[in-house]
This record gives sequence, C-alpha cells and structure tokens, in this order.
Amino acid sequence: MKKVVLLLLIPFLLLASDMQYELKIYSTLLHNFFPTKQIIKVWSDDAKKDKMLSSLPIVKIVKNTKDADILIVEKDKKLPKKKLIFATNYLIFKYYEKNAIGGFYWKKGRPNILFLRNNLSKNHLKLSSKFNEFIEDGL
Amino acid sequence: MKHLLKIYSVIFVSIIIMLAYMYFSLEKAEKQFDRNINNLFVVQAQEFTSNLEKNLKLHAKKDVYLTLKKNKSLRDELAEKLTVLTTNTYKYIYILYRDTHGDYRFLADANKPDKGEFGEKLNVDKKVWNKAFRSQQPSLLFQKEFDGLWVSYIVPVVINGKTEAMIGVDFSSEVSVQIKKSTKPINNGFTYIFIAILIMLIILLYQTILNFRIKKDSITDPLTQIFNRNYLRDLLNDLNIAKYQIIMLDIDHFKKVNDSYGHKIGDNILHDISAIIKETIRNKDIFVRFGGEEFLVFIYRNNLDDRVAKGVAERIRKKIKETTFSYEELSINITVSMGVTCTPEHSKNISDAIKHADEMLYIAKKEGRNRVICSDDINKEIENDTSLHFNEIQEAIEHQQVICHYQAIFNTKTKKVDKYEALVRIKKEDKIIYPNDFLPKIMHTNIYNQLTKIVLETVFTKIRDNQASISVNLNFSDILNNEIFGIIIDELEQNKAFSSQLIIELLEHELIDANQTFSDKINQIKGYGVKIAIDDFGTGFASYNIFQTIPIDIIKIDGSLIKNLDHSEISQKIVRSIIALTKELNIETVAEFVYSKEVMKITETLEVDALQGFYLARPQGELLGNQ
Repeated sequence: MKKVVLLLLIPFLLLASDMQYELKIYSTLLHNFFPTKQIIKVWSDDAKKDKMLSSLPIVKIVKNTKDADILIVEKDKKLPKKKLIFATNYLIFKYYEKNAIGGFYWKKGRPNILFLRNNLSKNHLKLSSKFNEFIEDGL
Repeated sequence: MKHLLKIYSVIFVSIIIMLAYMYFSLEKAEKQFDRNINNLFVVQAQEFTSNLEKNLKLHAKKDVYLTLKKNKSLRDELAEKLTVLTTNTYKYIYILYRDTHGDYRFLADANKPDKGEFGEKLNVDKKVWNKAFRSQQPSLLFQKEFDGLWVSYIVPVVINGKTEAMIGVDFSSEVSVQIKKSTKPINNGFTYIFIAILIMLIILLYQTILNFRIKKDSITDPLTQIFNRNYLRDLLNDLNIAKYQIIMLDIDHFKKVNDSYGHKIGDNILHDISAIIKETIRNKDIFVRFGGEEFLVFIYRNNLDDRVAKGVAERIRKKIKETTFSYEELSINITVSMGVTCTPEHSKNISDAIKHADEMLYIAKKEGRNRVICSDDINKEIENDTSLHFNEIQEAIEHQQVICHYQAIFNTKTKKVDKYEALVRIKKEDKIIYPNDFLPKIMHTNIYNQLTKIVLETVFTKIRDNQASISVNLNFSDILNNEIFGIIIDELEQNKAFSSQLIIELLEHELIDANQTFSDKINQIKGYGVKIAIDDFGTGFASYNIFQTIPIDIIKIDGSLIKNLDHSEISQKIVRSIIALTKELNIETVAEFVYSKEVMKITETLEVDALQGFYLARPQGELLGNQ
C-alpha cells in the first residue's frame, strides 16, 4: 500500500518548487556548518525564512540572537558580530562582509551561493569540497 | 483460451503504444510551438541587444569594465536604459563581464528590486555563457531548473576582436506559460494513466507469480518435491516422445516396509530414494512420482541413437541397493525394479510408451526384482520370434490366409482313422504360422471371434466334403462368451446335418468354473449332436467335479503324461487310473503325443480307445483318409 501511495505522489514530487530547492540548500549548508550537532538553533529576521527552516527536523528557531548558533539575515544591521552570520541578500552580505561566513540569495531568478574564505577561517569552519567553487576572497 | 489471452495482450499493448504515441506527440507539438513563440521574442531581444551594444561601443572604445568602473554616470545611464527596456516579458536585461577567475559579474543592471551592483557576481550557466564568450556569437539558453519558464538570450559585445561584455536578456512569454498550464492537466492525465498501467502491470506480475506458485504446488508432490501425476497429465500433451526414453521404477516390497516399519519410515524412504534419483539424473531429465511407490523418469536424448536410459537406470538401481537407509535405530536395505522403454518412438503415443515401460517393469518384477529390464532386451528376443502383430493377424483374416491342418486320431483296436483334430494355422507367403504366435495377441478381441467363425466354417466344409468326424479346440471362456456362443449356434444351425460329426475340445488350461450357465450352454450345443471332449486332461485345472457338471464324451489325456509313459511308472499309473475312471463313466479316451512305437504299445496295453501323435500322423492340410 505504501508503494502505491509513493507512486501516486511521484508527479507531485517531480513538480517540487524553488522553495523545496532552497530548503534543500539550507539543509545541506547547515549540516556542513554544524556536522556534529543534532539540533541547530537558528535566528532569522525574516518570518518567511523562519517558517521554511522550521520544517527542517534539525532546526530549532530561536527568538533571541544570543541563543542562536547561526543568524540568517535579511535586513537587520544591528546584529552581534561575534555570531555566525549568513546573509540572504547581496546588500546585507556586503554590509556584513567582514563577519558573514556566506550568503544565499536569488538574483535574476538564479540561486547565488557565496562563502567568504577569511570569515570561514575566523570561525574555524571547513566546508565540504563540493562547496569549493563558491568560496571567494571577497565580494 | 490461449487465443483469447493473446488477443487481450495485443489490445493491451496497442493501447499502451497508442497512449505513448499521443503523449510524445503532444510533447513534441508543445516544444515546437514553444520554439516558434520564443523565436518571435528572440527577434525583439535582438533589437534590444543591438541598440545596447551600439550604445556601449559608443562610450567605451576599448576596455568596457574600466570605462564603466570610472564612469558612474554612464553606469546610471545604462541602468536607466535597461530599466526602460525591462517589461513583464523581458524580465531581466543586464550587462556582465567575465573576471580573471572566469566568473561573471555585473557591469550594469536595470533599477529593479534585485538590481545587481557593479562587480557583483551572478551565478550563470557557465557552460553556455563561456561558449558565447569564446565564440563571440549570440546564444540561446532555455532555463528549466527553476520556477518560471524563461529563456536567456546572450549576446557578446566584441570590441577590437575581444569580448568586452555580455548582454543578457531573460524573457518569459506568458503565452508559453499559458500553453504549459493548459497542457499540464493532459500531461498529468498521461502520467496518471502510465502510473495506473504500471500498477496494473505490477498487479499482473504479482498475480502471475501467485499463479505460478499455485501451479507449481499443484504439480509438485509435497513429500518428494518432484513432479506429480498432474504434471504428467500436462506433459502428455506437450512432450516430444522421440526426445526421451522412459524409465518406470517401483520400490520392491514397499508394502512390507510400510507394514513393518510404519508409514513415517515409508515416507522417509520415498523421500530419500527420490533424492538419490534426483542426484543421478540430469537437469534436462524429467522426474515424476507416478503414484505410491512408482516413479517415472524421462531421460532426455539428443537423437534416436542415444540409448542412455538403461545405463542411468542401472546406476540408480546400484546406488539404491548400496545405500543403507537409516532412520532412528533402524537400518533398512531397499531394492528397486525398473522397466525401460528404450525406443518410445515406436509407440503410438506417450501413454503407450509409459504402458510399455510398465510392461517391462512387470517383467523385471516377475524375473525376481532388483533389476532393470529394457525393451531392447525383450525386442532382441522378439527379433527371432515369428509371431504376428495384431495388424498382420487382421490382415490374414481379411486375405483368407487362415487355414486348418488336420491331425488324424486312430482307433486303437482297428488301427483306422477314427476322427481328426482341426488345428488352426495362418499361411503367410508359404510360411505357416502356428497358433502360439498369434492366438495370445488376439484373445478376448473381436478378431478372435472372427477367427473362431472362420475355423468353424472351414471344419464344417471339411466334414461335409469328407463325411469325417473332426474336432475343434475352444476355450471354456468361449462357451461363456455370448458372442462366440452365438457364432457356434449359428454354425450348428447352418450345418445341422453334419453337426453330429463335430467334436468340441474344451481346453483344460483355463480355470474351470462349470456353473449352471455353462452346463446349459454345453447341453444346448450337445442338442445338435455335438460331442464334447476335454483336452489336455490330467495336468490342468479340471477336477473330478467336471464329470458331474458337463456331459463329457471324450477325454484327451494330456501329452505330458503320454510322452513319459515309456520311462515313468507314475505317468503309467495316472493314465491307468484315468482310463479306469472313464471306463466307469463310459467316456472315450484319446492319448495325445504318441511320438514313438514304444509309447503306442504302452497305450494299447493300457487300453486307451484312440491314439494321436506324430508317430502315427502329422497334421496336414488334407484329411488322411482311412489307413
């Protein structure tokens, strides 16, 4: 019976949206940033991101930046700079260029991922080799 | 039923092919339509890029990147132009350059919410963009990875033979999207149909596997895990008889094993013997439990000269004989008997070939069990045999090749021919075939009845022509057989005038059950004046009771007693006692097998009434006449 349900769901799975694509990217990234953590505490200033990320089983959305393992930033420019910052648009990424470890945002309908080498080193983060092509020295 | 299944299969496959054809046709038409629409939009995009290229070349004579980096107002001016050109259809229009790392970064972008900043990296399909960059030719890229159906038109800006910038136009036609949307339900419909077909095929496959298992169970013997009689029934229809030799195997004294050790041990023996046979035969041979302790093995052969079955049977027999079957504390030795049909191609069908193997098995058991009897061995004996086949006997009757020879019977006192015994023969191409070579084959058949009629007709003709008394041999069972009895009565009716000269010799080799019906029939025959003789008296099944139930006229003392008269006192005493009895009962005696003068003298001394034998006269085609 399970097999039959799965077969009926295939067309819907095939039609997965950009949202699913984005979620998959975040899931991969978070696993890479925190490979040993069972639960990753995430803070975000974007309610949509909160909603999307909360669907990941390893993610716990926190209200306070102090409790967070990583801050996913859309617009807030007053964040504690000692925390791991991950940007969701180019301008905020540019603002936190000295602190943000990377950013993921849509530009011209295309997903853009970028990591900053220095900031990764500062935070002692080592990414899987499959992300090498996205690591840059600066924006 | 098989045809119906084929028709259903063809219809089913046709429907699938038709659906697949419709699906791919729709997809092809969609793509073609999409391409045509895109071409219309590409023409417009070409105009945009052409103007932008001219504008760029006008301001930047050589290094576009440096020119724009230094000149913010030019960047703003370009952004303004790009903004004006941007519409819902031409969603993104931007100018990029390729940096030293091969990444593409913004030179100018329209003033829109997701505006790319000067120098900002843009993730593009590098494969296509690099191609356009190197070839300095416009390229068209169809994006399919993400939501929203759109096309990228990429134009390299070449100054002094060097690609200085790349203009990108991403457009998405609503028409194309609408078409996609409107055909989506149809495409989804097809997908569901294909899924339904797939599910159906899975169910069908599951059903087939289930049927296969049920079928396998129905043709497998649960105890031995070999084929059972159900399988044999199917096999009989399909098996090429020439491709197999047949072994029929029976476990010797299996009933005793069951009775002595119980059915559980019996089952174990059946299981273990099956395992031994399975080990001995090849995969292409077919092994069937025929029933009880009987097994059939079909030994495959490549050609008709291949006679492997006897060797295989011998190996099986030896292996089983050498095996001690041990169960709990019991050790049992078993032997098997086997009959082999070595040349099944000579049989009419496979059932006949199996029957033949059974006959061979019967011989194997009769000859002492624990042996293999092959039809080849029997056939070698038959090669020297002159006996006729069933068809040849039928043919002989049709071609009037049935004749009678007559052996004279002499009166002991007068030394004259008293009567004759008619002996049936078949004359085939100057060769005389004796009754032993054809009577056993036709016994209890319609041909035997026909033969009886011919003999009676022939004998009556002889009686009529020669006015001689002639005897014919009949079995006790012939009298009881209503059809033969009818033939006898018909002949007697037709030859009433001569019937008193007919003697019927009843052969004593049959178990006699002279009941009331038999007596009545004999009395009816005797009513025509026919004399009744008992043939081969003294060694067969007849008892003294026969004298009480049958009105006997003549007793023919068996040849085995007469031929020993010259050297066996016991034989003399028996014959003497028979004669004493028959004299008391006023029954005439005939001594058969008088083969020498000595024997004749003794029979005379013993006062036998009549004598018959080679010493006196051999059977011949014509009557001897009084000598």
